[in-house]
Amino acid sequence: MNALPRDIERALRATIVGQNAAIEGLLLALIADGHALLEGPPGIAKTLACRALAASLDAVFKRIQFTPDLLPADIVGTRIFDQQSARFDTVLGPIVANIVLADEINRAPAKVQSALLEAMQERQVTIGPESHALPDPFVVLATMNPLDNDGTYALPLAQMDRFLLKIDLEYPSEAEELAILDRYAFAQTPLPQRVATLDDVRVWRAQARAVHVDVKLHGYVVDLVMATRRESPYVAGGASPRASLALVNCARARALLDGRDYVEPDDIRSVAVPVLRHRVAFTHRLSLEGLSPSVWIERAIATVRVP
Amino acid sequence: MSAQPVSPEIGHTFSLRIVLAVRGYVRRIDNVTLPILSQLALRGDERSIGHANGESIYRETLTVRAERTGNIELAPATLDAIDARTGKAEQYSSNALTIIVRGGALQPFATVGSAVGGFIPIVERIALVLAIAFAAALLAAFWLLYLRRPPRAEKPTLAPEIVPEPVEPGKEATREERLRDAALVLRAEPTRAVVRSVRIAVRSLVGATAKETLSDVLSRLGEADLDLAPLLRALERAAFTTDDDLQNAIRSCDAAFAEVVR
Repeated sequence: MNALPRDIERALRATIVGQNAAIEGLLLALIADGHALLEGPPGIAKTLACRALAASLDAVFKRIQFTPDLLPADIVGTRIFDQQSARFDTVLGPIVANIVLADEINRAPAKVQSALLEAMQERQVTIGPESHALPDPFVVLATMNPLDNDGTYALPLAQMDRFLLKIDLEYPSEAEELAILDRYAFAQTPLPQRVATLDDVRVWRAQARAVHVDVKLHGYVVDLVMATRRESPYVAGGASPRASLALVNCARARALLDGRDYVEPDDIRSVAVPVLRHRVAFTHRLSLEGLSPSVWIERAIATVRVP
Repeated sequence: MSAQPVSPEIGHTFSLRIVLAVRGYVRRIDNVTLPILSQLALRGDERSIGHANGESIYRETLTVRAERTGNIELAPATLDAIDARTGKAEQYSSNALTIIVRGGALQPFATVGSAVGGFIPIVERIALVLAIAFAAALLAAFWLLYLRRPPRAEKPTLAPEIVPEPVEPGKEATREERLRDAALVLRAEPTRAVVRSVRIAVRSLVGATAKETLSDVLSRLGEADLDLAPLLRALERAAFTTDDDLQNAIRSCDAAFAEVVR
């Protein structure tokens, strides 16, 4: 019997205390064939969540620590001259994996970021004259730390747009913190056993693509995106049409997670904030007035009629 | 009110159906105001009244032809009647409807004769619009002059054909009565359009606004309305599920209605 997406969710919940929104976001990115950007302070299980996801699928997992001196070849690979055979051999980089954790993506310069983002978009890497297809599934999970901005390179909006979701992780609650101590104070954090295969993931993706979206819900998606483009002192530029597609794909994945073959307005509304918050260009006035992008998006969404 | 098909082709005839459920035994209903069909050519009109479970179901099917492409907005059909429970004049409305007319193969006038022939339906339509506008003006005048007057000692008796159940004056329609009406309408016309109208009616019964999703509504359901949660979920499914699953979903709605309407 084929595994269900909820099996992965259960495996992740057994490993990670709290962070329910992050767990669901990772699953949505996996099912909707997209990449996710995780932002949160250090030490709140961003890396663990990515590792646990890979372990639950027995997928090839690679972690790349982004640093200011990283080069594109360190990610995609390079060609090395073999003196004995007098020819160039291709050595593929760590990007050739099913799940790639790009840790602290904003610490690398733009050239490296764009090499990664190109691979995310094209699903292939080119080294010298040869192009190499990346494995399927291929999911990039990038992390950012919102507190430590020294020595970082901000991701341009066009590159942020390539991420299907931006998952904001918060500090755990007091009860969750106690649970973490109970569980892991004297023991290594165990990774989950495999509960699904990469073939299962491919099946889920096909099922998600077949999920029915009523034409009225297409109208709702467009209304939500248009709400981000209304004139506002806080907004310099609204979400792109790629955001509309991302909303539909994530809503389909969300419906599949719930075991439905049709999308409801709630599916769209529940993914709207993580899909839209990193695709809108905000002015400095937003932060000056103590507002966050998520709050602004939530307010914009609340003005839209539900079909 | 619903159209079949919802996206007709220009120049083709299609049906516009209005279904109305009235409590009590009614032989005729004459005070239904149809939407103004200025952008459609009327080709036929068929009315019938059926009776079931102490209710009368009025059906009117208009056969119309679209003569221009694009969106045609139809205002709700309305029924002017005296609510026997309150003794007040009330206007009941159906849903509004948007018809999307697709482009088709309307031929250009081949001859002068055909051009004149094409002109005649336009004159007919103008006459129809004027007649409907005149009827609406008469109705409005009647409403202003008669129904807006202070209530008399004796109860006004409009719509004498309606034989309502004896109800105490001043009593509002109960939640159960409204749900029963909604169930009846859905049973009479189990289509997606009616599901959506009924969904809106049931959501408004629990105070939902147009900007709330189902989870918003469910999260703040009061103690007294908790029993409506399965019905709200069933209606959500019926409103958005696949066409193949629609009739199953409507049956689930019917079952959910049966749980709350005894």
